[in-house]
Amino acid sequence: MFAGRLILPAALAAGIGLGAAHAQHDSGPPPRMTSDTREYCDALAGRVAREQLSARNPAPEASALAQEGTQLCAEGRVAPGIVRLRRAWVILQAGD
Amino acid sequence: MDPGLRRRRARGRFLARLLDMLPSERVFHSADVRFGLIYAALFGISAAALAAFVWWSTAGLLLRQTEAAIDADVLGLTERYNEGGTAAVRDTIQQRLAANLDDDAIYMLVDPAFRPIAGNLDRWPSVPLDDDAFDLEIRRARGLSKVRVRHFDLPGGYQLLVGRDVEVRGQLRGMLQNALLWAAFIAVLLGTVGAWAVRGLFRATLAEISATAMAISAGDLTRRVRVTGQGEEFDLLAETINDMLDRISRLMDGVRQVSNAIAHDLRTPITRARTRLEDAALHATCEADLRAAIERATADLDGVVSVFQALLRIAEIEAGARRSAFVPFDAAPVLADLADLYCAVAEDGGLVLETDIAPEVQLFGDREMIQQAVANLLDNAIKFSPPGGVVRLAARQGPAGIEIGVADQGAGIPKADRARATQRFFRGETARSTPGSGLGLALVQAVATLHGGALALEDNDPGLRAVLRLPVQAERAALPPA
Repeated sequence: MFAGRLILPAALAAGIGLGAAHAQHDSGPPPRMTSDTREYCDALAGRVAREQLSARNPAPEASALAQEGTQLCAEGRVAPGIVRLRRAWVILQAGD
Repeated sequence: MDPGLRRRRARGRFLARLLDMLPSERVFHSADVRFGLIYAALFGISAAALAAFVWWSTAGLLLRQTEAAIDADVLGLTERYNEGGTAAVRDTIQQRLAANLDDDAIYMLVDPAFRPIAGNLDRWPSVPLDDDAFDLEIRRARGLSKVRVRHFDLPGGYQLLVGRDVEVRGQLRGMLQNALLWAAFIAVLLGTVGAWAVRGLFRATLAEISATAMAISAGDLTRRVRVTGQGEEFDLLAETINDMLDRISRLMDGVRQVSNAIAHDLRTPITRARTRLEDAALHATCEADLRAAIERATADLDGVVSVFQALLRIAEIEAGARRSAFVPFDAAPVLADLADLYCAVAEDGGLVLETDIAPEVQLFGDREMIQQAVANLLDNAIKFSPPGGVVRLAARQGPAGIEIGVADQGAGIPKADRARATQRFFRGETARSTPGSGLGLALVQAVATLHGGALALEDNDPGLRAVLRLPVQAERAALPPA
């Protein structure tokens, strides 16, 4: 009984270990990039909006780019939306 | 015949024909093929070196730039980790992704159980953790993309991946690779054509020289190698060969001329001696007549012998055998003795022999030869001077060398004949009626050349001035080799 209690966690630990090793050498489909998705676009829009709010004197160009990027993402045009939001972010960072 | 045997024989004949079509070993030993192959090899090496440089400075540069960007990223993240741990790394990654205008950055930070903490990959890729840098494929919104990543172990079992999307650079690399392959094909084509052209040019040039040499060996001494006039190396070779052929031609003309001259000049005295002996044999009435005829014939034959002696003497001087007997000596007393000797001869001819000899004329050479050369010049001057004329013997030692001049007031030698006057048996129009063999000036010329000097024939207005110019004693090292 005691032996069985010892063997189970050991087997589970081994299972986890094997799982971890399998994750390193998994030959399944390639990983997906998450920074060109609609979710990332929304997250970036939120990050840019927070940066705008915290900025003392945000550049008008950054605001325009942020607005344009958010709208493009909302329309489903993710790639150009992300580009504009990133530009807005860079301008805001430079302003800080 | 057995069909199998027939087939085997047919196959043997086909193989034999195939072997005949292959270039034989002799072809590769041919100079034109060798030059063509050398050209092709040099062209190929140059093209390969150029392609390697283009590749290194374009595709290689892109790869180096990618590696440098990743290294800079890793350095910054490591510093952030040391300052604030994984939380600081996570914030930095998010900021860098937000500022990634090129949209090519790849980050992945995972905990010891490979659970994502930060980054823009949905999961840890299947990569060997032993490698520091490798390429892998990821899925993007636009499709599969190739990325170059580096892997780092962080303290506490955390793992970090930093990379760049190199899909566009890979496409550029592929285009460059295609362009270089096409360039290699064109280079091979041009190299082959160039090698063929070089081979043809080489063969044509050598064929021209070979044809000329064959024509000359067949007896046509007028043939010369064609000079294109472009001043190239083959032109230089052609000019050298043509100069050599000109010189051979001149030498052969000279030999022919000397042979003709010997035959012509010696035929007269020999015929005269023969006629006298024959006449004496047929018509002499007493011993005195016979003796007189023999003496005259002997005198004629002595003249013939003297001509041969002069020819042998010139040949001996030109061979340079006596140069080993050269010594330094003062030529002034030698010239004074000659002047004394020829003074009496000049007086007999109604001439005046004047002298202007420097007190000291130091020479390095053969005293006897110099004496004979000046004697020949004095002999000629006295022979060709009209009665009442003046013959002048002068010698001086200047910085440029020694000049021994003999001037007369005779008919002189026309300018057109002066270049040929030192050739053997040359007799000018004005000298036809004067006794002589035409070997005097040839001997003087040979002596001058042997001593590293020259004989110049100049106008004396009237008459001729023959000047023997010899180097000073200090210049004896510059004498021509024997």
